[in-house]
Amino acid sequence: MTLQATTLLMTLVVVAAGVAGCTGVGELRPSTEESSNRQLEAARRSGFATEIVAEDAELDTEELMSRQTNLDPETTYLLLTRTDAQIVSGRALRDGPPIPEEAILRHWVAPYLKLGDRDNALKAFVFGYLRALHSAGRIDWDAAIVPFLPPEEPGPQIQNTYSWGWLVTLLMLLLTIWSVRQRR
Amino acid sequence: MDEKQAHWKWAHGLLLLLQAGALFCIARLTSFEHGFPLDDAWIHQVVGRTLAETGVLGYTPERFGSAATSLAWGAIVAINHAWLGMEPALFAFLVNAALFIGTGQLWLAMLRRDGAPLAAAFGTAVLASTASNFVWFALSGMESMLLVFLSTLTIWLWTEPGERSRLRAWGAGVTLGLLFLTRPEAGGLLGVLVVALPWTRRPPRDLIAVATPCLVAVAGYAFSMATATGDARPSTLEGRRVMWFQDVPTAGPLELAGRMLSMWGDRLAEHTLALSSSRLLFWTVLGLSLGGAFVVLQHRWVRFGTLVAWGAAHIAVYMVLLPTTGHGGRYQPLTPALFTGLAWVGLWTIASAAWTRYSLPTKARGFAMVALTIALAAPSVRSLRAWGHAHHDAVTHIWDTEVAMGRVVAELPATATIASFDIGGIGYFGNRELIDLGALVDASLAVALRDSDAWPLLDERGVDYVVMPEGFGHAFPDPWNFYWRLGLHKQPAARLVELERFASSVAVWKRGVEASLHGAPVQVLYQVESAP
Repeated sequence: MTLQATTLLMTLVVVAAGVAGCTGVGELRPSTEESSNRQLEAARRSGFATEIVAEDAELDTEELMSRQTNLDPETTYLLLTRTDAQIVSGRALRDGPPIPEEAILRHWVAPYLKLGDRDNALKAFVFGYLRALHSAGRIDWDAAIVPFLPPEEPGPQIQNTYSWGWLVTLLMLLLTIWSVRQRR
Repeated sequence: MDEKQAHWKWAHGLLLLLQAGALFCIARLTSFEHGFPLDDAWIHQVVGRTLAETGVLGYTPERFGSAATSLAWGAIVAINHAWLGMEPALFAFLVNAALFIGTGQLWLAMLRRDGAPLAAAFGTAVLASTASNFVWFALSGMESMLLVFLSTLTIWLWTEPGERSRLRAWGAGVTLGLLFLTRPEAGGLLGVLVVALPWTRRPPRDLIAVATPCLVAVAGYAFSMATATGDARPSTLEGRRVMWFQDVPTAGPLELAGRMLSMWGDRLAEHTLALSSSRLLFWTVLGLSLGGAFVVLQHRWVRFGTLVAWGAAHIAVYMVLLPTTGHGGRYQPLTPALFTGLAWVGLWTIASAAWTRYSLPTKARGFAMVALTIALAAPSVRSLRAWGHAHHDAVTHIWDTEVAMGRVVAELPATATIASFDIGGIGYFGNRELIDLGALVDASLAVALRDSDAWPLLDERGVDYVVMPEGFGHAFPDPWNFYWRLGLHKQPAARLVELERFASSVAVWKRGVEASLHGAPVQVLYQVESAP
């Protein structure tokens, strides 16, 4: 294969991988919802049945709540819309001392919603909720990576995207090795 | 002097200018009168002051080695307290700047002796020694730069037998011993030197020369610590473990090691390449770095190759012992430098192959070289500028919270018993005995921290005042809120009355903490009152 072909191919792959790896900042990713649900298992195991209700629309949580059918009074619902968040406490949560709901929503979740960053709003929401239960000694919880959450004006959280990133790295590594051999 | 030699001299001179420029870039906004960007740097100052005043190397005269992450750095700091009386941050900077410049110059000399072409060697030395995160270590007031310099000097002496081969081996042993006293885990370099032996053309008996001083240092350290504390391990290890991993009590070693690498990935992208959105450049540079490491091994650049091997081994040691990057990446300080330096080797190799294949004329090569330099230097310059602001904000934050609280603590009644989680600025400016709730002075206190149950300890010690780092929301248990992490919200037998609170603005705290991870945004002083 000539150098031109290799270079062209590599450029195409890198651009494609870059495009594939760049999801818009702030959108709620299916993987976030999935991983958040997995994290909530810690609360469920200790009797705090919890569900996420996320809606990508500009409505308040009361309206979102009114649209739900078959709500279970035993279950706590973490409601998240494009502009609003709310905790609807299930029985287990109501029966104990209150968790600092105001702090979770105002200090952690609201700043992200203000930025239109729903993905991190949900991460902060779930983390804050679990952290509050854990700190009150009500659940056992091996925390996920602690999100970096200043209470105002947080920047969007950007994690390295390992799925495609390694591909780019591997390509550059191979290109270097190939170049060493060319120079001999 | 032939032309080639003159070129190398110019390269050393230019590197010196660029190093000075990089230091200026980060230091430019900050006055040394305002201290350090990390509270831990003030802990070193207390250790140095204690040594100067009492002859005991430790945070408190009663306990040798207490809270001293680095005995060697504590001893260096003591020189200022004993004889010079300079501003602590200025003295630390002068020493660290000299070590920083010496390190970069040695790297260039090593590459030259390895036979690297001038362009490859110069670019590597420049990009490595001006990597923004790495440069910041010279301003951090910590021992990181001493660790890098002594590592480099040890490797230089070991891989450069020269005329007095045996003497140099002993010299490497002495610097290795000092390195161990700088940070005990760095004694692992001995293993790398043993592995590198076949490529150094040294006889195996030189191993005795390099190992003996180091082993003497190890034995002396272990004996001193065991005598003072009953445990030969560093006194700060347990407290650090709890602080970093309290939130992940069931995470296994592999998971923690993976998290550490992921932290480095984010740190290199954000605080070495100054990336804020796409990570494409990070992955590209990482590939070039790994490729660069391959080139170094392939060409048998023994001196620089040994340094690269040590950088990798040092990370591996931490992955096992304490899998975290530390504040601002200070635990593995070679990482950002090797990341950018090796990327240049990779890029230079690819470029050289391309223009050899296409027989580019000399002029075109020159232009290509300039273009490549700009391409790699641009993120570095942006990052240096960003670090200037981050450093300034970090220093401001520590000054306005920890140091301010230290001055208040100094005014508390002389008979009062005071406990604090942070003991740097508060210890230095409070200048009185503190019960260290972070378990750096007394490792046995780590249990209270790990179990989030500090009340029995406060009760048992008759604590009158307690200083806690907290998040912006007192009632919210975020990771910065040690009022919650230590279980003080439980208050079974007493209550805490808030007396004083120092907080930075969000903007100042955030920019500093993102880069340096310096600490909590708020310090609160409570008086302990018996419950009615």
